[in-house]
Amino acid sequence: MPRIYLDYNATTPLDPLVLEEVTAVLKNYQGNPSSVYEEGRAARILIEDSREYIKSFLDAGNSGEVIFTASGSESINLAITGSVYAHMRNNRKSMPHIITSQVEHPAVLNTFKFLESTGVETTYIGVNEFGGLLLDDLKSAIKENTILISIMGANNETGTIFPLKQIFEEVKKIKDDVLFHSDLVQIIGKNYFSLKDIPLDLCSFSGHKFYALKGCGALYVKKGVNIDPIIHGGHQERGLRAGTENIGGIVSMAKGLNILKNVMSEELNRISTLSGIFLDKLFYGIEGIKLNGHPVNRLKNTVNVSFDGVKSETLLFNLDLYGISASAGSACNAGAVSLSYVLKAHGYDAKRIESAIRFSIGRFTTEDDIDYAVSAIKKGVLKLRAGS
Amino acid sequence: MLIKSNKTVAVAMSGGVDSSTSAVILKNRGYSVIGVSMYLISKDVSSSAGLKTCCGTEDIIDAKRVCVKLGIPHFVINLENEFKTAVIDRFVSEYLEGKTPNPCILCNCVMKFDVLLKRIKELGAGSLATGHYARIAKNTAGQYFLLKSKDLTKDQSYVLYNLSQENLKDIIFPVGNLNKRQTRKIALEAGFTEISSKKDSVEICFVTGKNYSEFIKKQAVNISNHSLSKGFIKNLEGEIIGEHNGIFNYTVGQRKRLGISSKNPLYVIKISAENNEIFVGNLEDCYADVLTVKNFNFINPEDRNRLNKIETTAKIRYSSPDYKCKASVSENGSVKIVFDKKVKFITPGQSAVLYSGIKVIGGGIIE
Repeated sequence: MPRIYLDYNATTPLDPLVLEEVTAVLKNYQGNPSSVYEEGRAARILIEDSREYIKSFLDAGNSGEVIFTASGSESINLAITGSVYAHMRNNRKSMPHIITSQVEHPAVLNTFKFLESTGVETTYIGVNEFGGLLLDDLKSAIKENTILISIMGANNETGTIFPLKQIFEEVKKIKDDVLFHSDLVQIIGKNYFSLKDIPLDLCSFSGHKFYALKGCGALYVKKGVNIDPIIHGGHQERGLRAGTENIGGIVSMAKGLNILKNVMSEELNRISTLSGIFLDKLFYGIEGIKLNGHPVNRLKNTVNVSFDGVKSETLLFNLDLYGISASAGSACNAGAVSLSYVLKAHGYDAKRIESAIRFSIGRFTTEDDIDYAVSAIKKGVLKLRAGS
Repeated sequence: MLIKSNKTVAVAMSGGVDSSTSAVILKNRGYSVIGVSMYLISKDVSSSAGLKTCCGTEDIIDAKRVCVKLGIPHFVINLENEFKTAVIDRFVSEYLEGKTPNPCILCNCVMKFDVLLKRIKELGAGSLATGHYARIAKNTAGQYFLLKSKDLTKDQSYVLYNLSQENLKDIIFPVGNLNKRQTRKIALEAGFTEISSKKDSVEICFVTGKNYSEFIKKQAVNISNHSLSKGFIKNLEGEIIGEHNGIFNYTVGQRKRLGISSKNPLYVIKISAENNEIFVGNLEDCYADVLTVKNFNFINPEDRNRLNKIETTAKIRYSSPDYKCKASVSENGSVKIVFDKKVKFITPGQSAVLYSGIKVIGGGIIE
């Protein structure tokens, strides 16, 4: 059976051009980048060229450095824990306070929970029913000992985009020495972003969301921002992340962003059109459905909808049997689906949350895929509604 | 595009050899097979409580591995809430009532053959297969029978006494006609070397021996019930001879950790939740010849009216022998079982299951 992949927010397939580049690198560059001889030098330059390219992609100029890690989650851990530890090492008297939103990815939320367990003060800011951040709550939560604020660029489940520039500026107006970190995992690859426009202190992203390899991520750190490493060892990555570099992964990210730069405007238009068709057909074809998150300020590739009277887990499994890959809530290691805390934070009722499914499209989605998907979704929903 | 439901079978997969082999057998028979695993308890709950379930993450991944290798779908069905309500909460409250429940019975009856059976139908499957050692037969009149497995040493019909005619028609036990050696061989030949040599899960997979009382204490914090507190241990004459640490720590037949010195070994004979008392006696006091079951499930409801005419044996716990007995339905509807010879340790909360030869008549929880 053909498979139709509608889960680009979970991960993207490799772009064939990335695969080609990575294959060549894995074949031809096998030295340790820290070695002093020819093979080492060659690998080192490859990494540094990739770093330079990624910095230019972000419009970083000379404002800071990009640190390569093994995932978006690791970047986020390094940014948050690293900032808090560096602060605590220099200020042993008072406990720092950190702020985030209730709808962040678990990489942020569970890092906060961990730090909370070591005594760090935390605040979680809510959202309104459209997923908009309660900015006034954020502003009034900032205190004397607030050292870091972490607010995501776009939500992985609903695609809702936070007005990062505005949030950043308002925060800095109140307290300009507070570190501002943003989880940009869902932004890089799906939307425009420039550090010139929003001069964040720290931001995290991940290769496998923009058609590069899994197992590679990056953290941008602005000059003058002091963070402690969380992985100790050699001096790699400016002393902030020990461990021999994942050359293939790093090159894949640079290549992925390079491709993106060339196709971005066309790709975003195409995805926006496709997604519009998808939504129209869903809402036209199936009664009793609701769009979750923000109707306008969202990543156009993400369609999170609730189907009245249908259990999302059951619908997902049925869709899989029809050849369609989508997702709901968050899945544990074993693959069990649990209810979405993100939608809960929107204040939706249990029925709406229990029946929500996220479809996310991308570079290789076609209009035929959308047609097939809509008819399969319709068939599944009607079948389950008839059975209940 | 839709899979024909009459040919699709879902296999409840625990990651063990019996359910894995079940999937292999059904696939070889040409069914369209879907693997399903139940996600019953999240890691934080189980590890903080020191619990081990038969459906932990490692086992679910084993199940997934089997399905991927067989080229069939595998779905993990999140039944955490259902498991808590139907199994954990009832397990705890029964202990607090001084009973000794068998959570496997509840898990099979409610989780597998009610909740899971409904869920797999929503996935287009017409039947549910499990790796139980038991057999289902059907006569020409269309009546279903639940029978012991061919390999009597592995028979698990005891935990299945709650099945009804309605759900028996949708259930398949692919290994019921095999012995364990044959089951392992099929898994091995299908390439599942590690799974083929996996140990059997223990008879009660949900909570084992020593750590259950801690778990009950934790779970029961919100229940204002005096059964958590200390109380008297009495002999059968009603004299106070010691103190207990809360009745939920004890089960009928228990000999150890009573904290009473005595010439002859003492056993728990009776637990009275109302008075928060435990009664102990000698070994001969542990024998009785009668028990009653209030809500007795008959596999074939017609057996209710002819029960006293059937020659029966009964099991009073999972590993018990088959005791010869006479069973009858009382006026109030409960079933009374009288044993030919006295039997040891009839334990309220455990289940009594009646058989006629290899056929399961039915069963229920001992009062």
